[in-house]
Amino acid sequence: MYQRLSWKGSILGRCGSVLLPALLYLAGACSALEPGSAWAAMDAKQVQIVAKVFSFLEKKPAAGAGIVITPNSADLAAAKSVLAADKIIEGPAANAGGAFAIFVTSAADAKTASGVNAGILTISDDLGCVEAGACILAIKTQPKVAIYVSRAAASKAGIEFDTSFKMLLTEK
Amino acid sequence: MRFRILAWGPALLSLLSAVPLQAQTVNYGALEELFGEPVTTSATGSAQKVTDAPVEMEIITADDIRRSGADNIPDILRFVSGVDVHSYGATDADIGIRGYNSANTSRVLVLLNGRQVYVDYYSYTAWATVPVQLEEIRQIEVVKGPNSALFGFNAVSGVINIVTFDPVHDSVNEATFRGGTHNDQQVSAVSTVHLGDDAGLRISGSEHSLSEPVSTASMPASLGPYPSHATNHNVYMDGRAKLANGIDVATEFDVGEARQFELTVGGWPAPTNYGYNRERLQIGSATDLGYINLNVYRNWVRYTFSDGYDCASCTRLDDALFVTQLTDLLKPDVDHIIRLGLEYRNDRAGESIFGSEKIGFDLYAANAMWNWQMNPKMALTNSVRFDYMITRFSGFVDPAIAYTAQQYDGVVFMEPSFNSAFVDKLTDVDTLRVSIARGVQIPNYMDLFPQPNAPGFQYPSLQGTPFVRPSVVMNYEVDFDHDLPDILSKAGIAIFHQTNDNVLATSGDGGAPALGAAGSIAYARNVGSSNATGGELNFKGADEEGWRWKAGYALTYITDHLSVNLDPANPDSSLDPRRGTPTHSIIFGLGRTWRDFEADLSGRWQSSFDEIRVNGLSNAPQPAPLVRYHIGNYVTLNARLGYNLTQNLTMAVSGQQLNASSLMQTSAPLTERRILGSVSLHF
Repeated sequence: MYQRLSWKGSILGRCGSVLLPALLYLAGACSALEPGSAWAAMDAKQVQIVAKVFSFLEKKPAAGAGIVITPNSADLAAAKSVLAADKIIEGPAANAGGAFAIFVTSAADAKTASGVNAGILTISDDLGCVEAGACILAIKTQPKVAIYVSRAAASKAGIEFDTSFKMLLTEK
Repeated sequence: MRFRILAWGPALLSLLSAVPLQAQTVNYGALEELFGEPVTTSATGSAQKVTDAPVEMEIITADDIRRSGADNIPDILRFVSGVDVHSYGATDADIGIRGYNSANTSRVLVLLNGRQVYVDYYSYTAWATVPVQLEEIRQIEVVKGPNSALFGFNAVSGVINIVTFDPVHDSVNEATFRGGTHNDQQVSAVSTVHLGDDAGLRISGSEHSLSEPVSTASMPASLGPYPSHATNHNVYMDGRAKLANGIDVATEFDVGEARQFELTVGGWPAPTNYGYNRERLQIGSATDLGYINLNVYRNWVRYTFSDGYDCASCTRLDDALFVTQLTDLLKPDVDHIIRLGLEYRNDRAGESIFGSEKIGFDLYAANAMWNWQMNPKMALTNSVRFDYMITRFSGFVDPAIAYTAQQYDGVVFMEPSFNSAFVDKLTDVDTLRVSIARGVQIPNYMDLFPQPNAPGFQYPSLQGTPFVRPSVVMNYEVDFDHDLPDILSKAGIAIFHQTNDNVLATSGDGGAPALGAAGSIAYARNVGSSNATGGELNFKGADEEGWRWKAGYALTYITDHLSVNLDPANPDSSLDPRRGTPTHSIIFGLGRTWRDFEADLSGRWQSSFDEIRVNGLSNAPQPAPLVRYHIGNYVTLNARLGYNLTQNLTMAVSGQQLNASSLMQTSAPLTERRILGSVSLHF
């Protein structure tokens, strides 16, 4: 009844051994059901959640470090409202030099920002950007709040979140 | 399984070294604000959204607590479906989950911030010794069904974890004065001090006094005189800090005294005193091997019962529990969370009632939890725990007792527990949960050891048995939750079937020979099996205009296969789960917040049940019969009206059991209507 566990590839496999034999039927039917993705500017609610996520960063941003909002990446008014307005930098990804976070609308922008500032937190509305490992953070608010983090991208940038928060987010 | 765990070892170690985790203690408030729903650690030991938890759980929030109007935790839990509260005195209560409630019930494990306040010697919770003030509780987590695999023995019917506000992240500064019927006088205060951004200390305390309804007219005169008042005072400190080197430190300390009338194990009435103190130190740090946490605590309680409170002929028991827990929480890859744990537990009781004798146990346990996010919608959680417990006894055993000191010492229990659950988020609004669990209830000290009331003692002799076995509970469950966004509500259904083998009848549960006369002996024993089938229906919601609503129904149908109480007319034990559990209960609540007003009404109806208790007992040899009391179905209505005079001042009036001046809720004295007024100053 029990399948042998394997550590090859994705640890334990996508659908593998279970202790509850009665659930094997259901487990066997599992498949990756990813939500759809599309580029869009982050709305006010998403921006508010991003602001809260900042409090779970293990390394606090340096004093004076800014947040770059690239064109059409986020609700600018909301960003200025919930994030310190004087830290908001409007402009292209190339302006990421002294910032600790950047809102982007494309994987290319994320790569540009990371090229300028390797330790920057790249944030996007697009889950695909996180899945591709280009962006670190994506937020979905419908139907419920879900926070997606690219483990590889975060590790590359040296960004860590606290353990309890990490247990609650969806890592890619 | 053992082989498999060993085989994983090298792989795990290689993963651990590659996966550093940073951490701090759970910031419940910020996480709840972030995800829009409460967060819990009571299901797996890891932080989870309640909707992801692999157990049937209900969370009572700080708002729920305030709006209940209650001044104690059991009265709050009364309005949770599937929870059965027996109020035996002004402050004494016992709580069952999904049936099997009785005086000094051993089946529900109660925790304060994850450390047990449940006492091991007679295996129950003395609610009057839970030191927390209602104002400092963030949430009460009620887990329905066994969770021994995480918390150990006795978490068989469920777990109640009381989570306080975090002194680092939350500020609670409040003084409350309450007064009401039954000469009820209460004062409590909570204050929080922040020490920089990463440290805080919360201190609370209270003094409470109210009349006991008990009298010699309602309980055996020979065990009186009964106390005229229940009193309670305590101090509780909770300090937490994140040190500069990333180490999290948490300490808790509480001390207090409580006096009350209570119905003790087996249905024996007793005036009881408690003196207690508890200390805890918790140190955690993120390492390359995961988040490693060391949790050490000591609970000390002095339990005294006597003919009145003067202690002229009191019986006293000192019990000290020492617990050390080492856990490692890690997320080796994006889909897996693992928690590994080791535990050592040492409990010793002794002093006056045992003379030079010492009784207790040592316990060693290992546990593991594995949460596998199979895909975005499906998750599988498995927890397993293995306990090795050995009894310790030294001292004199009366020759009339059938067992020797050597037989009482060194009794070993080795028991596995597990929880396994599959959670499938079928749609955005539907969640299915299928689970199976094995929980273990160990015999308590009355079951396991010789007692001081040996032959020749003034009462019939109730003695433990070294050969009594743990009771094993298997729980099979299917739960389904459905969000109803159009009407701002959530609905849920839980269906369970539970088997209980080796049901424990403590010596205090009697048996006709034991209670027939002084000089006779009754021994604890396993008396058969009992099964429970049932479920809960829940519906709750709230809108933006300030309305909130709640309704629930619980069914608990029990079938007994026991060797006691075969003739209902002639009870020979207080153990009677089938007749002792109300089969049906309904709860409802409706409330509204309007400007500075809050108004709430809660109600509960439950079907009839029986309770058996000792009805007479004398210092002279004479019969001490067990009597069956029939408690008819009843309704109880509670309400609260609150008004915020200013931002810093709230006045409220609340009533418990408004629909009846007195009501038979248990075999103990009638429960009387209470009206309370309160003034709360927030500073």
